[in-house]
Amino acid sequence: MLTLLKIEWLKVKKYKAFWIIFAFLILLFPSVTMGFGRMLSEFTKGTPGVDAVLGGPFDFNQVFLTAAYLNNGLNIAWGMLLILMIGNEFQNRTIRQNVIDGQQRNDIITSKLILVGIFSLFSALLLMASGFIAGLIFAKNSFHFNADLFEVFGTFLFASFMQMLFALVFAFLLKRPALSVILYLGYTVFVENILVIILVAIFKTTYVKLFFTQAADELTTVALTKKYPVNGSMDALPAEAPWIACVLYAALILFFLYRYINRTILK
Amino acid sequence: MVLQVSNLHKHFGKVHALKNVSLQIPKGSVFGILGPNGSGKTTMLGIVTDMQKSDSGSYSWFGKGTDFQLRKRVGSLIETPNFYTYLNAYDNLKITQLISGRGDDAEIKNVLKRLDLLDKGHIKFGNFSLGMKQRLAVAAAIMGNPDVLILDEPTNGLDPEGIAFMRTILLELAAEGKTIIIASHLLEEVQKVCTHVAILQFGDLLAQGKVEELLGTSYKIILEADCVTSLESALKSKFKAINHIEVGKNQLSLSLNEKVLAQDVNAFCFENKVILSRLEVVGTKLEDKFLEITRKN
Repeated sequence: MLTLLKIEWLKVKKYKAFWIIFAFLILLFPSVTMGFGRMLSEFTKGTPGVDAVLGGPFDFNQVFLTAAYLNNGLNIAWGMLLILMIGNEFQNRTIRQNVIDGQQRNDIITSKLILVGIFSLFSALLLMASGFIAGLIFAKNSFHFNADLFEVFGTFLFASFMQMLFALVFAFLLKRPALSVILYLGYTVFVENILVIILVAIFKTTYVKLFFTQAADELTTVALTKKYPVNGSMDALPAEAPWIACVLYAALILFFLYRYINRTILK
Repeated sequence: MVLQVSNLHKHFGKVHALKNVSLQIPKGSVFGILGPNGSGKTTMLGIVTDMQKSDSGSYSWFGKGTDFQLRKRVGSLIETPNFYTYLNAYDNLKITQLISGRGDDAEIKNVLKRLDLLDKGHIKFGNFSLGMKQRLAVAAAIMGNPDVLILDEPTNGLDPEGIAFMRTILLELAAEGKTIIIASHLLEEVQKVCTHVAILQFGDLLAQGKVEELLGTSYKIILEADCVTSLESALKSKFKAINHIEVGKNQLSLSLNEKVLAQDVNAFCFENKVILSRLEVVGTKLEDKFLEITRKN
């Protein structure tokens, strides 16, 4: 495991796209959270009783859940990075060479899962930092340490992990970096959202929102609405539903990836 | 045996890339796998290096099976040099070293030096010339002194200087007694270094064995002189080892099954009042044998 980590670090540390996306996310996480905080404070300025209705979304520690909800989509950038890295490895035939040199095929997947884990951790830490900064600026109360922090951290960590796991499917199935990134973005940002709207209209059930990558989004959405039922949504999903769906998806994806890599021809 | 291949079969759609191929590669041999494009050479090397799976049949490294740990004892360059384009030569070799477990940092410098790349270690692989890329791939393959080397078309795309450099390295490695499996089109090069060969065509194994056994004792004597062609039947009667005579303008090319002394032929011609202007003994080239076997099939 340590050797795999060393190998992945050697690959990542001089990969420009990694540092560009990392820098982009370091800037974007707090920017998105603070941007919305500023917008909200502008709109609600001088409006009495608004906090009672909204529940103070930028107060401590609600601000972390709000930040998780707002920044969830940014995990797609990590997914894109993984797709680019893996696509380049297939294109330059380095995955093939690594196997020739004695790497176990399973280790190809394991090494990428290590990256997914590390990127998810980065993402969750960035979320907590951006939530904290936004809270310092916009909260009307002071920071207090409680179990909610761990819940938000854990939920976002898992949501990030899942988003990247879905990206791995695109990366390993399509193998071509540009094509995979375009299809991944097109699918997660547009196609799937439209598909879910249509399916909800047809089947009249919110469980459709657990369709593929939407399940990862629902982790933070459900967590937020569970804690702070702003509109008291009647058709909200049970809190466990996205967790169960994501665990099932994760098991299926891992089974598929390990099986696929052991059977595919490494050209 | 270093590698034992038994009844390996592989098809892609309707194309049978390998048809029940069996061969044995002895320790310390320089084993040439010869065959035209599409003969199944790379498919076979791909299977024994786990790039692809066979439909049936089996192979065994060092008599121990197919475990990935055994591949770490094999240094391979298959088809093209494959490295991370944005990493320099040193970092690329470091990755090979971490995966294969062969060598250390000092060994990386050693192989870079041996392949004349020491001063290029900091240059990104993407900025390498084709010759440098090929040399880096050989450096990765020989790093940490593996038990076996697989070189698939190691001179592909190289200029004459690069080919000469590669030949020198190959001869050095062969002289060190390393087991080398080499797939190549350059039969003259192969004949210079190989102790054993296997000939593949359309997925069939046509021949395999020691080079000298494959070439046999057959050879040619070429005679040139005015009126030498008049001796054709006389030569056939005198030397029973002649199995075929090719007649050219003032030239006879005698194909012989067994040894005939050149001076006896010269004396016979002289006795028949023919003064030879050329008398040359030519051993059978691997290329001739290869063409003979592949055309027959």
